Amino acid sequence: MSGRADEFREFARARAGPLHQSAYLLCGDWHLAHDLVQETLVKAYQHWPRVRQADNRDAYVGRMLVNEVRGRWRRQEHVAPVAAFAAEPVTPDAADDIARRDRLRRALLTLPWQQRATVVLRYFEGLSQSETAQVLGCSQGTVKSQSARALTTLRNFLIGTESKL
Amino acid sequence: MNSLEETRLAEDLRRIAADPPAGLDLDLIERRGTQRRRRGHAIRGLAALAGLALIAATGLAVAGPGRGPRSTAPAETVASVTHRITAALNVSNLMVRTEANGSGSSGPVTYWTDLRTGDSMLSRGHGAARITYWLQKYFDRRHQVLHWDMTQVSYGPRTWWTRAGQAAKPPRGGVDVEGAGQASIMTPQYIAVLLKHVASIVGHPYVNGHRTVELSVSADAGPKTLLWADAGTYQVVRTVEEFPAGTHMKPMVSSFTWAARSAALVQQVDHPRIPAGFRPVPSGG
Repeated sequence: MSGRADEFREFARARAGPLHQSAYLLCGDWHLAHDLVQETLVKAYQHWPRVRQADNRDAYVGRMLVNEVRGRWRRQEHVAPVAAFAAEPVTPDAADDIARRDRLRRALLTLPWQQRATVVLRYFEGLSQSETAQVLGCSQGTVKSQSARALTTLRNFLIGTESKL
Repeated sequence: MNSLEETRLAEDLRRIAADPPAGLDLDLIERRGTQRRRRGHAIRGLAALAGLALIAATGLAVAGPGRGPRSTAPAETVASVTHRITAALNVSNLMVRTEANGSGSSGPVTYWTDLRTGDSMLSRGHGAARITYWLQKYFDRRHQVLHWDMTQVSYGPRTWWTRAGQAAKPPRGGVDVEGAGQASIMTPQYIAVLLKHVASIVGHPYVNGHRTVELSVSADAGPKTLLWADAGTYQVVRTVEEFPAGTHMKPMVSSFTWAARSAALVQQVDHPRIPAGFRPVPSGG
């Protein structure tokens, strides 16, 4: 196996899981997330010399994934009946925290694209404001405002759905 | 949100995304990446040659190299389809019900598998002939030992027994449970093994109301098997095992139903229920 392939495999093995999880939070469907990560990694391998020269490979490929998800979202490929079946329990679990996370998962999917990406990058991947701004291609001020709006929406959604239970 | 709420949000997000399906097919990714790179080089090379030819012929400058055709939808290959079916088998919040016609004397059987715990329940027969088995598994990661408890309830003699077992490492294809007749059941674990021997994609017929992708499994892996999976969810819908002509065994048809992992199903599948008044007997009795 070539050095390029070895290097790529090492990177892909380490990052496939986190990328898969981020993609799931961004699109709400494991199968679509699988496609998106696969497509992202195909592109990463195709342009590997460029990826390996990046200061931060993880962030570089993370941005490729975000762009991939955004592209699909724009093409209206985010409709995910599979997720609706696969992830919604028929009988809600009695545990409060599981129910809360289920509501949060649904709330996340109601956020506008940039707010959702901001939440995933900031709170799931743990990126700083400047790193998030770099991945999303916007200013730190935008990250700050999008983050605040998203958190307000999530809080209101969670309070609203709790009161309906 | 304050920092405490933000910490809780981060933890919730981690738990929401805690169960990603099985890993990616790196061979497929590398092949596709290599193909695209080569195609890009070839097209750029051709475009450059065409440009030179045009300049030479007409003296006109031409636009820069074009971009090659790009496919956004992943190509359907045996590898990609089997990978997706495997991923569907690893969605941990589902349960799978298998109904099989029974290839031997066992008659029709119903088999439930909890994809999260690996626990299962098998039921066959009716009335006094009814027998139910439960299999609960626990994997001790520290010592790399798989433990299991098997419980059988026989409704005719109104008896039950239970037995514990262990294996040095997780056996492939699930636990071979003596007496449960599991060998004749197309379990999710067995499907996962079969998927490594898929020979070809046969077509895309409709089965049980699903548009499916039909796969043929190599006969080297055992009886000739056809497998249909939903073309959208990649959840297996039906399998048919065909046995060699000399065995006089009917093809075994298994139909699959996928259900959300509810509290009621967990209670039914993961927890043996001994009816009141049934008496314990030695295991295997």
